[in-house]
Amino acid sequence: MIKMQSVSRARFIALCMGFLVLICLPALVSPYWLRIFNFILMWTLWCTSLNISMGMTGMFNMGHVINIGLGAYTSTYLFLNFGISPWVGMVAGCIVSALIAMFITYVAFRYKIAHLAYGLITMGFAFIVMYIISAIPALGAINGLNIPRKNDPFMFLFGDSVPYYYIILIFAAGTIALYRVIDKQKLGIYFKAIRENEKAAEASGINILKYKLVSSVLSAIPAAIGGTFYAQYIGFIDPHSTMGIMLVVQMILFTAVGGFGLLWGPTVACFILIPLGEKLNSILGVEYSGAPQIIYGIIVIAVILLMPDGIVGWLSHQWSLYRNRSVGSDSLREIPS
Amino acid sequence: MLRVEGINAGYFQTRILREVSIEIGEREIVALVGANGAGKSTLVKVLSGLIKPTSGKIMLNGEEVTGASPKKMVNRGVILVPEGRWLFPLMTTLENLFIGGINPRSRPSREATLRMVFEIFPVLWERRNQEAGTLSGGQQQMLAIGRGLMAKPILLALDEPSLGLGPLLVAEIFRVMKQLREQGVTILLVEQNIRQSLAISDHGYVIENGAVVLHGTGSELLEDERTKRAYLGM
Amino acid sequence: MLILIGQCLIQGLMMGSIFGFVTIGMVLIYRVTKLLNFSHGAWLMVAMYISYILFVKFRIEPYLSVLIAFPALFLLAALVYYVVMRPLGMKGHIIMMCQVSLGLLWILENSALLVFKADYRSVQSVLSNSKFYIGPLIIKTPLFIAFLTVGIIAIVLGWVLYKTDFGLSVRAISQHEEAAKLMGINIGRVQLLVFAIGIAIMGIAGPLLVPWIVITPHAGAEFTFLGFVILILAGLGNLNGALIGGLIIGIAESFGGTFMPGALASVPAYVIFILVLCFRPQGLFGAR
Repeated sequence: MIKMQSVSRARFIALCMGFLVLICLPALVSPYWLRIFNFILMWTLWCTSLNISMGMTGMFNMGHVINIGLGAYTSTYLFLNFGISPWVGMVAGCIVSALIAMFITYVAFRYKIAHLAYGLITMGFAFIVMYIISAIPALGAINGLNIPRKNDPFMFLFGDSVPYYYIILIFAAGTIALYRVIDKQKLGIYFKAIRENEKAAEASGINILKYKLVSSVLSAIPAAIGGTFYAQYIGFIDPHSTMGIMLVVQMILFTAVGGFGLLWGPTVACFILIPLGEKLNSILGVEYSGAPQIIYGIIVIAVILLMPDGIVGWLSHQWSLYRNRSVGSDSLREIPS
Repeated sequence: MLRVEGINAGYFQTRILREVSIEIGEREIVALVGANGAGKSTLVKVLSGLIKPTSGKIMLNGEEVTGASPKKMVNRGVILVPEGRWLFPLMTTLENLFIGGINPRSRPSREATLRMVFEIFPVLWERRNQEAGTLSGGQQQMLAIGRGLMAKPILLALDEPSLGLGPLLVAEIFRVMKQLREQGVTILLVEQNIRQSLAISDHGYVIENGAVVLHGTGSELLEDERTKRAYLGM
Repeated sequence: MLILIGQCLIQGLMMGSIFGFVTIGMVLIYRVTKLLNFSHGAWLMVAMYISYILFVKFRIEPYLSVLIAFPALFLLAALVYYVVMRPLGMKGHIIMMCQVSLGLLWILENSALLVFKADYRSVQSVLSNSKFYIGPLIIKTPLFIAFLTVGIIAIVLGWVLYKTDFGLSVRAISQHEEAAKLMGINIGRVQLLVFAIGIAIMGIAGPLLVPWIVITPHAGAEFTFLGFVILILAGLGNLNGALIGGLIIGIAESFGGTFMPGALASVPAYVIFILVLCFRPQGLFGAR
């Protein structure tokens, strides 16, 4: 149908234009805003990778923060103690992250009560890993680790925000692309089947454990990459900020606002909520340093109540309503007799 | 006493009941028969408020109760003893009976009703402190009916009460139903056991694929070929 | 050495009873509303801060502040449940309820951060430093009072659960919700009350802890975490197991705190957690 083609064409053009704008961004905005965009993109990466295990596969994954933290700590540790370039350390971080993610998923799988218990168990592990790292002096314990600030591209260090921007842009775009690829493959169908009805999926022959493991690994790797980026960009990691439970709570809340299981959900949420937070911060000042978070929380709860599929879900629902407005639909399907 | 008109109902997007209309008069025993999956249980769940019909009307003693909540239906004396009994497994027999009478209508006379139930089902008194989950099938069924009685029903709906029970117990349960009718309780009986249920009923409805296909007195339906066909799904 | 072990045991048992107490609220809420309340510990933290403010501004002893904290939490929790959880629960969106509870954790913790900053606060009440002796063992008075109070309330809860019609309704819903509907029970109202009570009892536990525990906004997530560890240890949904699991974890924490270096104090608890997960995933007691 011509109408369908023109819609996807329009979408494609919009996407290209958006990407073009993003590529030219450093020339268009102030350094202050560039920094904010770095955060937006980093969070987009984290939330989209969370979306793989939590949105598509339905695993209440509070352990996502472990993936991020381990990525950050692995590459940083190797860098500070052995001089290994964080580019390489990033890969090591991915491996460590993936292994731990698989371990946790395996252990949680044995519990055999879907959804909720997984959330419990991953939360437990998140705390445990955080406390363990807080106790190891070699990893900086509670005080954390500092990464030296200098310009050394081979060591993943830059003096300016701009290179960081392009790096995170590529990483974030890559994660979104990864999500889309999985979404359209058989893998995505299996993930979603597990999310919708695990027992039915198992009955139809899907190896639940295998696909959950795959999902957690695919979720962990981008997260770990993001973790390394965080370490290199911010220059400081400590258990609380990098492995704290509140980090993943924020991710879950953001993704809920955008819409779980939707490709652009996390992206939209991050692009809206992070600048919003910044604005609130600058208006309210340091005095009220908890206020933006509280407003986040209220917004999130309101969105979950009013738009159960998130903002993106709501928008696409409105869009399909608009398109179907002339077609009536019966509320019940008949069983043929 | 109970009039159901044109009920359409189902689960999610699937329609199970189509334009079902039945009528139950006071102190009657009315049977609902049909094959498995014909929609009998669905109809009974609609009557008890567990499922909301998508269209149609339910009138109880002149009052419209379409789409009322289970709580409201219970307060009006419409009590369902569901298929599978739905006992509270970790509560004792006594506790299960007690909670049967928890609604405001039956609460004041709970002690007296309890004694009455124990008279009808003496075995429940013997096993009053036993956990419901450990009772035998027949005892569980009696407990389920007893629990329903605790709510002082004016209309008691029984969904497959004889399922899985031996003939002696089945006869006992049918005897109890007759006894209840004497005492003024109206009974809606959903059964796969056609012979005995139609024999005891004043009139009955045959349900096939979610629609009422036959209606008549017990003996009329028993003799009708179409009843057997509907039941066997032919 | 024996004395030290005995000391650890006693301390662990008393602390553990409080952990168990917090977890019981979580279990009740889970059994009746199917919600895993991620914000549970945060309410405890709120209660502690209420007690703190009342002490600092009005010189009210923590033990008296229970009279304010309990109703305050009850009302707030009831409001939150009615506005936010109930609509989701009625449509069966349990995962979203859990997400909302995360949102609550978020709001509560950040509200505390906003008002009190991240500093550690403590209250020096009259009894803060008093202790008494049983033989060679030192018993800290505030801890002992907390232990006693928690025990009494647990007994009261047990009485309500098994000897009243309300308790009957609660147990019915937790065993078979559909059947409970057929009994004419007002499911929504019971769920609201259980949620409100489950949270309000933190209004009792919180002030009890205040005389001798350091208060921080992060205490919320930490208590939730411990609660979850106990839940898993006991078996999801097991009431008695929650109490016993609490005792076990309390003892583990106590031994850890005494015998292990600083930051590793909670390691015994984690080890138990992981061992249980690996070898007895359904918990020590299974779901009851």
